[in-house]
Amino acid sequence: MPNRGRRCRICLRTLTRFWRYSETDPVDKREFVLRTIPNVIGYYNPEAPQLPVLPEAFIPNKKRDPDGLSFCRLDFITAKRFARGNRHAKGVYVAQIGVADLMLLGLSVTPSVVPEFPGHVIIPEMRFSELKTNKHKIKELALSLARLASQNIVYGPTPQKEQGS
Amino acid sequence: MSAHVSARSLLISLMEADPKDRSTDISSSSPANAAATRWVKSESDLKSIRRYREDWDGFGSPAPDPILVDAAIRFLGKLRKDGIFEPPFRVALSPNGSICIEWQSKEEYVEAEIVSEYQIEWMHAINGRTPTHTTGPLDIDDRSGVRNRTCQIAAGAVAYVSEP
Repeated sequence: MPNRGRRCRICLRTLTRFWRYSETDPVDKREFVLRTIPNVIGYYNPEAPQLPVLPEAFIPNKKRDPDGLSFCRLDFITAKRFARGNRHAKGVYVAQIGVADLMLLGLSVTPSVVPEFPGHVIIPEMRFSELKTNKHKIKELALSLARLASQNIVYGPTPQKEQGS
Repeated sequence: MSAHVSARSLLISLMEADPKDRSTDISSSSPANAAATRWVKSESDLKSIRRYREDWDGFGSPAPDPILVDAAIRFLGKLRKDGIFEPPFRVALSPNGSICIEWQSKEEYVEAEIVSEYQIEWMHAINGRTPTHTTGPLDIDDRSGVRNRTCQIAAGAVAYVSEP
């Protein structure tokens, strides 16, 4: 029997689906996904009440996003655990975005199992190679994602990690 | 023609917008003082950015190119002298090395991305509409004189056009 991946968390949202709902299952439009936003200039600005998350936080990175932007499904990991699992030295915020909102932007959310975080998904339309070929579209999407994220920061910032730790 | 109309409407909307609606506003005894403070802060932020080292964001992003930062500082100074633009809401270094200058209001977002010493890319986004993009030269040659040029906003983009 093929490995179906880890099961979702047991919570009110997932109670009815728990026994047959794993991280490799397709993402439902009623789900929510989480994204960490580094607490550094250039990604997050607490002085901006309307758009604290900068679009740069959603621009695909050459090293980290060759396949697409990374998110985690709320049904599989809490914002707190997701944030604390992040190793960024300056700490992170966590933003929550509805999958339905992503679909409205024409984006798809695809399961991509990684050992570190259960419920890991990617948005393949936002992969780094697209930035080379379709920069304007990627910038527009990054701005839309920054707006969505700015409206719903659900956790953070996590404490800064000490140098060398 | 349509570019002119768009330019006028954008300019008017920026000038006439209710100050309370602008995220770029900060409290101060005088709006002129507040604007001056923001211009100075933007320039100061750019000077700070010039001191960033490699891995400034913790994701291995490269250190900024000082030539690009200096071009951004000169460009900012030019915008201030022209007096058409409000001071930017923020300046930032992009992980890919370009310098971004942003203006925000409730309805609008304008980003000037200085991608090279000679080139600037503009994005103008109004809520509910498709954003527009324009690429143009980053003409900040002080010897040519700012006064010989007019700053024309066209659909969120700024084009520097020599006066006839």
